[in-house]
Amino acid sequence: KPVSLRVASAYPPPASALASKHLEMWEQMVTEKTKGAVTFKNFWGASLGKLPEHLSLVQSGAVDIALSYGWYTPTKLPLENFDYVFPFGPTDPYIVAKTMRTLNEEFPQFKKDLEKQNCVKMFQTPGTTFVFLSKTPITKLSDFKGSKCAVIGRYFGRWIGVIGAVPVAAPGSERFTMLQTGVVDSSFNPIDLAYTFKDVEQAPYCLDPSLLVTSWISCWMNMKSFQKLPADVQKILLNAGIDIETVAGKDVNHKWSDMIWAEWKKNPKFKYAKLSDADRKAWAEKCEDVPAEWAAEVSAQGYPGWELVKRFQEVSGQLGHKWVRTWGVKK
Amino acid sequence: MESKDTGGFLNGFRWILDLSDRAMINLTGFVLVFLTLMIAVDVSLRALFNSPLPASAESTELMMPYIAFCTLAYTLAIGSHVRISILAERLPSKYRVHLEWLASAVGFGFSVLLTYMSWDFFWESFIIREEMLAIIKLPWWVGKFAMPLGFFFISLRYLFNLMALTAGRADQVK
Amino acid sequence: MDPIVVGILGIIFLLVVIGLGIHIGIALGLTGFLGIMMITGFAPAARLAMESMYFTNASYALVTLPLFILMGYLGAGGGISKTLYDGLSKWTGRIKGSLGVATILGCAGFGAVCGSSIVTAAVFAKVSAPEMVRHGYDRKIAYGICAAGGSIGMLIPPSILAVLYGILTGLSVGKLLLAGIGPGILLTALFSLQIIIYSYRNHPDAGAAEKRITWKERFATIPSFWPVIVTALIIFGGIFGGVFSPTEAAAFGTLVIFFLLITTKGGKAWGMLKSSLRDTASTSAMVFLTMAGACVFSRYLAITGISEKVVEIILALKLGNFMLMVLLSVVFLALGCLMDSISMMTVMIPILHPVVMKLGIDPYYFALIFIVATQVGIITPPFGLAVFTVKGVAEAGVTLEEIFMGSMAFFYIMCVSLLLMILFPVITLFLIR
Ligand code: NA
Ligand code: NA
Repeated sequence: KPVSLRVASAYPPPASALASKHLEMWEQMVTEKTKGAVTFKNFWGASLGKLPEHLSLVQSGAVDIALSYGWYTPTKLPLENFDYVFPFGPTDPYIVAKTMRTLNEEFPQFKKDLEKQNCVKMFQTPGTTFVFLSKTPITKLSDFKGSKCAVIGRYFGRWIGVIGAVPVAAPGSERFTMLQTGVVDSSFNPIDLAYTFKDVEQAPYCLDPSLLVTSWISCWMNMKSFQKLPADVQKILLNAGIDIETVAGKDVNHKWSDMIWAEWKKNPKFKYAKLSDADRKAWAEKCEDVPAEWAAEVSAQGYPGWELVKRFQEVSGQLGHKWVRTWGVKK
Repeated sequence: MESKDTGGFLNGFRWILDLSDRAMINLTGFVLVFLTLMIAVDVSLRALFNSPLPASAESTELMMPYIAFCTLAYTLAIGSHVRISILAERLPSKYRVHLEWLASAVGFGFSVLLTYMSWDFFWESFIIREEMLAIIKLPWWVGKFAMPLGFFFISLRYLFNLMALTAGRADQVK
Repeated sequence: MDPIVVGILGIIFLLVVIGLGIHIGIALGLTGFLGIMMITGFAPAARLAMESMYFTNASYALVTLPLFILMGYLGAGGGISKTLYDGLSKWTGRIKGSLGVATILGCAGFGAVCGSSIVTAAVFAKVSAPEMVRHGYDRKIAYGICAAGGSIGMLIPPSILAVLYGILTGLSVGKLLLAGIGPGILLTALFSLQIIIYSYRNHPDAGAAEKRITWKERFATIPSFWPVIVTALIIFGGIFGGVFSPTEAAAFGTLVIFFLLITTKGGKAWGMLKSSLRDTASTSAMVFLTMAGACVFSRYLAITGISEKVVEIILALKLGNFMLMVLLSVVFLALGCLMDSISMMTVMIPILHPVVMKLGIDPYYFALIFIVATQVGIITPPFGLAVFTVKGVAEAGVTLEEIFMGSMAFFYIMCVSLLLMILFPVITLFLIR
């Protein structure tokens, strides 16, 4: 019998947000494969709650499915987006997606953490590559000296601190005005979010450091809602999850990035630069071993932190990523 | 005799509530001053020495609930929570007390529920010592504690209003 | 039960509860909570209500609200606004309506540093409204000017709503901000005109207008302007010099005013600080409880899908673009009676933006019509957030109903502005095309 599932997305509608695009495609796959038996009622643009509320929304059953970002609730889901801890990690979205999928299968702790939150993971897809958008030209490491850069989150501030940039904690929605008036000189974001926040209008000089792509787009389903579905339908949902991860990594994200680059290049002031390999190496050497720090921290909570850090580098390496430095070295 | 007893009890109750109101005002006042100074220090360090405070935006988010919730009860005590009084103004004062009683009863009922729900919300965060996503460790439950704190005291103030109105002491309610 | 039915029942219930005089924050929160509970059950509703109440208020962008209100209390308590308006009236007193117009212009100027209409309204209601009353303005009009004038603060960049609109739709935030300037100027002009017409009929500013004021008297008032000039210079200089963001400016505004009080009033300034902190605390608590309740109620309306249903019905009528815009505006005005602007935007825009693009309507033109329509909502009963905030800082004895009534004159003006904006796209588009 047909069911309609309530879905909350913390992100804008699919036309303007990659994350919601993934969700929409996954929904279409599911509806198609269930021959219309499963349909979705979407609440885009955080209309049912702000980003950090989404885990609660789906956990409590206020909605059946939520699209959000696990590290926003770091204590509840400490592993969920741990690919964030690696400077100069893979930038190929397929490698990221595949590595995280492999690790999710190898380490039952991912699933257990979500079960504690009364959730089942539907998919976890990668975003796009992180770049600096700056008001003044930046092309090499030395250009960062004293540049005030808007960042958010736990580690980025420390990474850019070691090359002389000044990290300024700033929520995405504040950055446009902060760049406009010059409170900050640059902003650090994956290009899809930078595109959403329109930072490039104020900061047209782009430096691509090939620093990382993370699989920050998480889609969870309420356990009870999931268990209510017949086994074959459950399987369809989960398989569509694997499919969207692959499609995102191999196709959607590349197209989405191309669209953004094309859009940005229309701005006559836009200048693109790539950080040189020598600079990347130099930067990586300067970074503290944050993955080791993270591994120690979660190991203290009973997670296999060191193994996770090691396996992430191994699996992504086997898939073709060239690490500029080994992370997670036990002292 | 009985009304005198309630009067004594009401006065004592009120004394406690006024005391807690003052404590909450001081707490919110302190947070306001602290927040103002923190932003000023953050901006100055950033502008003059290129070294802003870490996570000032996230710390602000942690302090805001104290400004929002702590003085809920005091605001009720001075009659500053907004309401539409068109109906009450057009009724004879005898009925007005009934409306006032209804408002206090609904307010009391819902704020007790809010206290319970927000305590649960806080407690869930507290037992796992939940942290915010930020460059430094910020205890999220500290911010979440402001809600049950504020709702608890506004429940008490609503209860006081309800008791005062029941005892025929409408003068005690603003 | 069909969520749409639950939605309509909820709206009726809310109106009854508010009409009975239940505190508005409580009424909104209770209705929203019960409504969500009918759809999802108790535990999810409880969690959703708590999350929305917490995160509505635990917001970085909202820090301007208590801090600018604190600045307003300090400025008014320290007599800075009194000397300012006394000085102003010596210069312009013979021009009818000048203080009202000065307040509107002040809102527009303050709008250049503050991205929120509620905050703009609160600051001017504290600083300007009592002074206008003292100079002979009717209480209703004086406070109405401030409640309505706040909306100009949202249209002149920076603007919280323009940024959010850009995020939700992918439109250029820069262009959305620029597109707000035209409607901002339009509202400033029409509000001023309205005040002048009112003044010719009702003769406020009478005291100053009657006696002749010499130039010597006028020049003697110049020192009364310096506190405001210093504060404005520091805030504008700080923002446009890239020292601090508009959000951070609120803290500096408060500090500057406090230092001015210390230099002019000495030790008395500490007492003023204490009472200003207390008043800021209670005003903030009132506004934040109302906003928290409104957020729960809006989540409930969102979850019922009632607004989508209405949009669907309207689109099914296959109207021409002009009639469609008029009808949609009416819907926005109706929703604005019950919802706050941000919730309205997150619920409506994801549905409407794709439709607008498909119909070939200029998205910036539509965006500004939507934003102005939400700004009408801040002064319309029963849920008028600007009116509530103004009430929160108003002098003793000013009632909510008075402020709603005083705002009515400006409600009509805003509707006229909306119509003008629909008819003449150039008002929004002249800076970006
Ligand atoms: Na503004
Ligand atoms: Na309204």
